[in-house]
Amino acid sequence: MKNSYLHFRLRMARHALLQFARSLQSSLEYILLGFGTVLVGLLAVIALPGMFAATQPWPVALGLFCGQTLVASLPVWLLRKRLHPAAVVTWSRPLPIPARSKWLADAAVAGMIIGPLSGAYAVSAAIWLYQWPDWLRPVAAQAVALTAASLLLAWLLATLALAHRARPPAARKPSPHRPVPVAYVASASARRAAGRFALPYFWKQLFWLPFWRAENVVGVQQTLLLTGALASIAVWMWHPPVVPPAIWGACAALFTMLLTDRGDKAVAEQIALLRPVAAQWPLHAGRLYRLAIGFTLLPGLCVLGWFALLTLGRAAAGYSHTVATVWLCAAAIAQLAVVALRRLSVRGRVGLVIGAIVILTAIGSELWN
Amino acid sequence: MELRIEQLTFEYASHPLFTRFDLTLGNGITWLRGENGAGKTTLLKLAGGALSPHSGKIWLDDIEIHAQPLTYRLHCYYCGGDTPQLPWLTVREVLDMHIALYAGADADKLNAELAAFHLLPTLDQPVTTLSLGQHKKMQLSLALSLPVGLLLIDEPFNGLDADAVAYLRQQLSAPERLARQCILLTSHLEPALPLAGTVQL
Repeated sequence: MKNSYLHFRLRMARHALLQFARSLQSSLEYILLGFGTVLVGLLAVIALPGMFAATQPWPVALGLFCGQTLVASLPVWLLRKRLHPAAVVTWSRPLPIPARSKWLADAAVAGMIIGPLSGAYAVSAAIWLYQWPDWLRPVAAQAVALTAASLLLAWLLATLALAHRARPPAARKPSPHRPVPVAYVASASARRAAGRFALPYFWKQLFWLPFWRAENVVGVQQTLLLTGALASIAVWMWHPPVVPPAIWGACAALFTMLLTDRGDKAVAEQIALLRPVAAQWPLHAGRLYRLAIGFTLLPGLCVLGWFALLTLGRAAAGYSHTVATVWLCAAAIAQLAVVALRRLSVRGRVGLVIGAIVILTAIGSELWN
Repeated sequence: MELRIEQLTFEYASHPLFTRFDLTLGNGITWLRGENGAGKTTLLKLAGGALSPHSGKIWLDDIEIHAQPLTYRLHCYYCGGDTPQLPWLTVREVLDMHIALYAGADADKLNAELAAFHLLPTLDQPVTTLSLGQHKKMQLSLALSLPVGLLLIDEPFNGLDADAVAYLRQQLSAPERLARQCILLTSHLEPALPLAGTVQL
């Protein structure tokens, strides 16, 4: 009984991690096939920033150290909702679990991710120590100590992130400026929807609001992807000399495809959630779902419009209008395929998205040639 | 309004619940009785369109549920479930949705029901912050105010305070309501309402 809470949390975390790994299986197959050597290279240099910090003056060293600590604790923070689901947090809050057991469980669960990650850092550090470059020789002991310290700090941060999640939410103070409602009056949009403009209203209530409220992060995720796509295209066309333009083209392809793919996936999940509820409403649910699926193309359309404006909308100065047109056509076909091929298997869909990214990157690499 | 169920067959994962089941109900209140798992809630969901039968037909006067699904649903409201179906909305937004869904819904009438159930102060709260009783009251406010001919109410008194139970009994017993609505309700306790009939499952 003494460690039952710890065992429960560890089993739940192991189950969540296995589930997460299974959900990534299809993507990993393609990523390992196409970028396996890149990943091995990344693994080899993962400990480099922390070790290199030992050779730098303290402000730079502190920045590198903190950066490495944050990067190492990031996986736990990103997976916190899977590692300790909201339903379990709510259910376990009134249980008589000692604070010590909770801290122990959070630390152990964080260790389940930080542990293997530390293994990867150890392999990377060992590679650098084996290679024994000139810059490392005078600071080898400090470099290893800094790496170990950043991982310990990352473990602490990850534990704190999990503990923070389990804290009961603070009671919200009612705003003194907001009067308590004394009567219900139907909103103008609802009254309009009862007449002619029903579908846009229901789309907003059922496919827009849920992505911005409670713990749903789809709205923020899509905004970041859209911003990333627009910014990548802008920098791609600006083509600063520091980075090859093809890199920005690859970023633009990646963000554009992920934007539509993730948006379409979120809408598909929302439709699955709504189906049993909407079955009892006097509403053309099929039409609403088609509208929602169609609207997932809008952000991608904005990105393509932005690209067309920056390339075809002005006289070519060093880049090819033909390549820009081909890129636009290929991107438009890929976007439509992601939304239209709804019966594709998970593996097929991942293949479609990754294939589209590779093709768009290849076409885009010719833009400035 | 007349609810007519003909030759209804429905089963959950090879557990048969209804086999060639027939039922005809007219206006007034019908008490649907049965032990846990007998299929009371399932029957309400089938009659409300939330579940599809494997075979059989369900009519509301001359409107068949599969032939004219939207017209059918426009004439009925299923009041059931203890958890919010749209947890991202506020109470006001849930009510607005129903005003938009049911043509001819009267916002003033809904306001009167909300006032009677003391729900007005909760209008701007997320629907997930309502207690069990408040959630039931919100659904009952909609049930009592929407212009439907068939009311399907699952355990109407669950979680209600004494005042709300008394008010609900008074509203459901109103002669003009009994004359125009077919009300099918489930309850494990004697509903203490003027019943048109009882159906034992």
